[in-house]
Amino acid sequence: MSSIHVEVTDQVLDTQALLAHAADPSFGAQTLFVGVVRNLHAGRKVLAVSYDAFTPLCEKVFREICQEAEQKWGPLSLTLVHRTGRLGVGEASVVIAVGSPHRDESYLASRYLIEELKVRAPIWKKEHYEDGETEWLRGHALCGHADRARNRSCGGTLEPHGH
Amino acid sequence: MSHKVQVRLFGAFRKLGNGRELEIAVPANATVKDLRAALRNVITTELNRPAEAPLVDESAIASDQSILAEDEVIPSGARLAILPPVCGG
Repeated sequence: MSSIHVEVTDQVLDTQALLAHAADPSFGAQTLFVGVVRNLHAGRKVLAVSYDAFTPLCEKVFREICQEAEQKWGPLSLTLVHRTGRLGVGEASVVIAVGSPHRDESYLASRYLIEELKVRAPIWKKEHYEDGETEWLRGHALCGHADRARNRSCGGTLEPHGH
Repeated sequence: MSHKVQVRLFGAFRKLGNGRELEIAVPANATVKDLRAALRNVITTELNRPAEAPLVDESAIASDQSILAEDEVIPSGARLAILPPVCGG
């Protein structure tokens, strides 16, 4: 009944196919979150975003996040897929599909997956602007997080969590 | 006796070298902390990109399976990655 499906891919995301993973006769709820490239960031017009990922560690982190959600709110079907490469405005960068017996866990788990991904997954964004410039965006430092978990100091700084 | 460590580049570090990896020489029994110092040095002096060096101290050093602690000794022939602050989703 519980299942976890995670992937980092350079292929276009098929949101309907991924939502199908959430189906189970014992599940009354299915939620779908799609993260999509938008055309504006910090006042600058965005044409495209390039996503970079460290795939083996990223898929492992995705699996861990899903296992945590399962422990908190299971049984669940959890699907978490992120795309890499250059994406135009309107294209999906991440799809999260959750199946659960009732709606409460579905919403909670879906929210948990995206919020944890944003601070833990080794993924980076480079924006391509209308004026031809590009910029790698700042983000959440991983070493502070990892070493907090191990109760050791690494000297890294933590970005404030805000998007 | 020193050995070479391959460090795969991600995010803003892809502006450096060939954009894929750097080969960094470290002494035998070098730790992750030593590798950071070697990376800052290579970025500043060999690659002549001192503006990118501070990012090394905001970044994690990782294997395929985990982020490494600062006091971990790097095995000879290790293939690691440097992970700047993340912003996926």
